[in-house]
Amino acid sequence: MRSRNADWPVHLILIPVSILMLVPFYWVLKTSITGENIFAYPPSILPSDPHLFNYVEAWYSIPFATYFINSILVVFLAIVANILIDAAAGYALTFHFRGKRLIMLIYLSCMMIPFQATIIPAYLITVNLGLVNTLLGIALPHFSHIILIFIFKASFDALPRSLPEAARMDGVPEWRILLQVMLPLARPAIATSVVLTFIWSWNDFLWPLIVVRDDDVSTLPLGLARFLSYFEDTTAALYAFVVMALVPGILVFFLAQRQFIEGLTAGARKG
Amino acid sequence: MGTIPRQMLINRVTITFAVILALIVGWNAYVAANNDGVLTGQVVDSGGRAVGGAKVTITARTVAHDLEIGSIVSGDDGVFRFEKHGQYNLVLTAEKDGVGKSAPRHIRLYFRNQDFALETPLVLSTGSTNAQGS
Amino acid sequence: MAIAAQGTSAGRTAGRAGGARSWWTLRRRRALFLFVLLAPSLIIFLLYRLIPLGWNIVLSFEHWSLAKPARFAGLYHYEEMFLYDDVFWEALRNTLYFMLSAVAGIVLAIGLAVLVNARIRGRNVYRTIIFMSYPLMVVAVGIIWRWIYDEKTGLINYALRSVGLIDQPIAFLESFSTALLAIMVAAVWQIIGLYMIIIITGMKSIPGHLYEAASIDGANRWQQFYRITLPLLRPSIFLCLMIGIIMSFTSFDLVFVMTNGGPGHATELLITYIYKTAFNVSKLDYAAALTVFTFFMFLILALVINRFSGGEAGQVEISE
Repeated sequence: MRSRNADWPVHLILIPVSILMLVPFYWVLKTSITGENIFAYPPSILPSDPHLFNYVEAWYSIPFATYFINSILVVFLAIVANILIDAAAGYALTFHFRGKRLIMLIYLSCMMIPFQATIIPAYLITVNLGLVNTLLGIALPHFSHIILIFIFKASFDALPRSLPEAARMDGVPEWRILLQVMLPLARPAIATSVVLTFIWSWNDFLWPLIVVRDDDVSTLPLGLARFLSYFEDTTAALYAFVVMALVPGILVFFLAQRQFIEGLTAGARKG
Repeated sequence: MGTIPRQMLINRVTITFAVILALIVGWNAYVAANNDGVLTGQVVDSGGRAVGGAKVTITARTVAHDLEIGSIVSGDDGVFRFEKHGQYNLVLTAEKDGVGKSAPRHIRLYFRNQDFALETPLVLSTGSTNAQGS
Repeated sequence: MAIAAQGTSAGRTAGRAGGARSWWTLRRRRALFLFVLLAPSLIIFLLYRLIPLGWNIVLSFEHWSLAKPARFAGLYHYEEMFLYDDVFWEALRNTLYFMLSAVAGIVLAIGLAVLVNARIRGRNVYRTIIFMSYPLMVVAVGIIWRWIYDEKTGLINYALRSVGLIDQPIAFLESFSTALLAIMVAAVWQIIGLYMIIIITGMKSIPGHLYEAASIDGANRWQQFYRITLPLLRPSIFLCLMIGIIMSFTSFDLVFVMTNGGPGHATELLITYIYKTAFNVSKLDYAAALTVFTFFMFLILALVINRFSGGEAGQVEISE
């Protein structure tokens, strides 16, 4: 194998690259806590006279708490729904039944339809369902993701057939087998579902933009965009808002990095 | 499934949530204990003597505008006290006829109605106005 | 087996007891069970994928608005789109340019993947740092980059002026020549971590003995890279390409926040144009036609890419 000494060229490239990748994070953080006038040139590289008052201002200038709670609610709904619905579908796909091929084909072809190709009718459907301007209306399209269905399927497929068979012999009803035998053993799939659903619904902007009219139903990305359009280049509180909006996503990412990556590369490993 | 498995209690997700929850509760408790909106300070003249009867004005400062909220008169010892000021970003000015005017004092708080005591008094002077820190 | 009996609860109980006299045979129960399991997801996809697709297609051939009932329009909207709509062509062009940034990103990502995958200390740290940009809220990323590109106090202008490369600040997001490029840089910054991860995953599945055999045959590291790594990475690279193409069709958030299609329409993407047509100007029928075109263009591209990757990239003959 290569000796450690030959590693330094790699570090020589990767360290500047890492710094480049981290600069935007640092810059927004510095802008949010610096005491200087951020609209004056030249900007200082380090935060001068750091303070947290921009965060106070962001909190009060706009209903941050409302946006935050709305986002949490939407994400919570989406996560619970996804776990139930996708695990159920994934489990169903471990059986052999007539029409399984067709169902798989439907799922796979739905994967080819990006959300952006559906916004107009999706909006009209939401209107017809009476869900415009509601949190449920925001969350509903997020209730199921096909990639998660396949992740659950793979997870269930990997479990020994004897397990559900034995339970069936014991007369345990099917729904109980799913909930109490199979699902607890698919914990990695559940973790992946939670993380991916969180990231996708938390960051979602276009759909809430279409569906929401009022401030008190807005989610965080929507609120952030609204803050930008109201206050634009007049206050550093915007960047405090940005930092506050990013923190939960980063937190979830660090807590469940492995599951996140595994979920995303599920497609890569197949093909 | 009787007790919650140990692994579920002591993994980093639960700990993170617990810490966050503790921080939220702790912060809210702190805020609740200190949000009577009591703002106190003292008015002195350029010689350092307490000035009674000076009018101290609170102005709320937001990104969009400044809005005068109210005023109070300092007592004989120069001390003034606002209650339930309701602000998180404000400017104080003091003035008294014949003695002078103070430079505007910009105060930023961490939450609305935070109790706050000025560290240095408001100095009335007739001359130049140097912005003072708080 | 099943003698006619109503599907009452009594019958169900009898069935569970193993009754041959119940309507609820094992088969039927299983079918119902599977149906219940699959129904919710199928309903969601029916509502939010399949029906919208069909509805868009139908709508694109109609004159329709929220106020008036539908009238058949034939190819009216498509005619308007292809023959009279300059903004459409500009949006199309910009979207295609955007895809080029995917190519650049993938090339860089391959380089990064090779470096990060090497057995060096701290490889996980590097991987995390590079990947950290991906799960972020795109609106927030857009605002950050907007600030970095700021004409007066942006970091880039500051850096360029400090080193003396330029005298006057450049308004990156307001100039016709640089705006789209600026957005593409931000987009690549955010997605390159994902590309890298996908390629690393692909690299990990290349059997190590291939390299050993090549070493024994005298191949140096570059040759090994070109002859073994790259060809076997084909599926991963094409997956990244797919993702890049999808990105150019879906980067609404970034463009909306950074320039909202401006200056003029220099950064207008198909998706932003569709949004504006549908929800700002309320021309839902025309927007549907735009969507249909966009979707099928995307589909064709995706199938072409798929065909290219599915061909030889599958198996590699290893003759030992």
